[in-house]
Amino acid sequence: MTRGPMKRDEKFPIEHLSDEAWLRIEQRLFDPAVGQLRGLAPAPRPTSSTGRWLVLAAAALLLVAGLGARSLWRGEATHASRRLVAGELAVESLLGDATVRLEPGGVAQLHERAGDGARVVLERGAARFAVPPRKARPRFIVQAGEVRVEVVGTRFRVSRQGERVNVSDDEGKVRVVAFGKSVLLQPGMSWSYPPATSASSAPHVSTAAQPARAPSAPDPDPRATSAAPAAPLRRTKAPAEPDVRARFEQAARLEASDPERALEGYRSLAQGTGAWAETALYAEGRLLLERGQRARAVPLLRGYLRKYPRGGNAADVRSLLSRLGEPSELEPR
Amino acid sequence: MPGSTSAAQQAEELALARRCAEGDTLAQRELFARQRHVVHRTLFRILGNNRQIEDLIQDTFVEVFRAIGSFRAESSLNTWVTTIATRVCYRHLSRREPRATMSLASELPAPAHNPEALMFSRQAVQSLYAVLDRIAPTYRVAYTLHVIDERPLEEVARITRTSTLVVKTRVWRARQMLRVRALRDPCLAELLGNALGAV
Repeated sequence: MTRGPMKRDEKFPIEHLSDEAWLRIEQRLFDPAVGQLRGLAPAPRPTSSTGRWLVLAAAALLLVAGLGARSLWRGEATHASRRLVAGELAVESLLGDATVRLEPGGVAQLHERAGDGARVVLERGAARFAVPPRKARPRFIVQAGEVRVEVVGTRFRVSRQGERVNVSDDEGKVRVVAFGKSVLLQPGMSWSYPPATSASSAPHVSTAAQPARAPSAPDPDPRATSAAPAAPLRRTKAPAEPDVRARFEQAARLEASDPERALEGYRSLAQGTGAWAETALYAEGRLLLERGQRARAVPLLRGYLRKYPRGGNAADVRSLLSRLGEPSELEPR
Repeated sequence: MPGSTSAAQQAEELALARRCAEGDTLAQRELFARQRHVVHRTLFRILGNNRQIEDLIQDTFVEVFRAIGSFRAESSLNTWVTTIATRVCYRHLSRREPRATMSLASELPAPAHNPEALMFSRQAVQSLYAVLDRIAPTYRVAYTLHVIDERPLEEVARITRTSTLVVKTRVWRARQMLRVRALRDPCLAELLGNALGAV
């Protein structure tokens, strides 16, 4: 066969599917509630004609169940999705019981499905996540291109620029699954693709656990502006006052180890003015709520809405109050 | 030879298939991650667009996981999965009504050529798939896999579970139909001549 001057893939380009499309397919297949593979357990190999008929009957039942599940997925499954876009400021949002902080320049889709947990598709940029230990809780997954991060329960950061992906674990454990391999990250470890030691773009990545960068180390992702540990702030001024920012980050770091001191730090900051005061007030209310101190949290969150009705965290405060069954619609003054 | 595997790869693929067959979700996700682009490429080559492709990819993997217990590593996992994708696609083509026209041009990403050549090329690809839409799915599958996706006749025969001779005949018949159309379509004629070999 003779070949023309143009390469085949140029003449017949493959139109790639979007991350969102792949996500939909994967969910339809693997969703434990409605996924088509649900119940597709191995069948014993038939040893007789009776056994073979039994297997065929079971397969027919599974097929019917699969078709039913597919209809359910297409029609009635509970699924909430939204897209988060961070401009010059970081954006923070709640996703189930987790906090997602999208760093400046980032874009992510947040998906939440009843019974199947949450999934974040990081389209570009970097995001930090604070996720309570999963154990019996629904799954929490971050997808960044070909890389999937399955959360065991942790604070971690994922950055993506095109095909380049970096995952660093600050606390707890995360499992990174990519190109058919998986690696469990412990606190202080990071994983990246392509590996720093290799310039090739081979489809199979060799994972290498490396010590996490110090918080002050430069970030390889030009879109990411902060390498600080996960901090529950919604909107921050990029060139923030260093002492206020440092105080906030110190409080954020103490959340897990010494929550009372973290609360003190937030309280002190909330008495000030500006974006950090606003964020600290929200953080204080949220942390109190996480610690089960509803009676103290609710007045603070209401106070937040009175003081910052259009604040960067106002939507999340309303969401929190709504979940608590508290009136969330306070008239802006 | 495409489709052949080394012993180590064979053993690894067999182990993965066994884990999938045992219902190991992690293994199933791994297989999905490895093979999804293979499946998409195969389906896209046959169909020429991404309409309905999500459903077909999904159907392919449902069949893959349903049949994974029968994978014996006689061919590579790639070839085995491609066989299933092709079968799913063939079924889809057999069921649907023939289409009069296609709107492929708007769906194709722009390669880096001059605009005139690009438009010419898109129009030609559009014409090509418009003709393929009207011919029997068996011819279409054989032609797209062999001519457009550049798979050897032997591999297409393995994928379509038929003989090399039959594949050759199907490709020849598809070419004949395209040739008739190319007499009235200079874009298609150029495409067939330049990119797809002499008809």
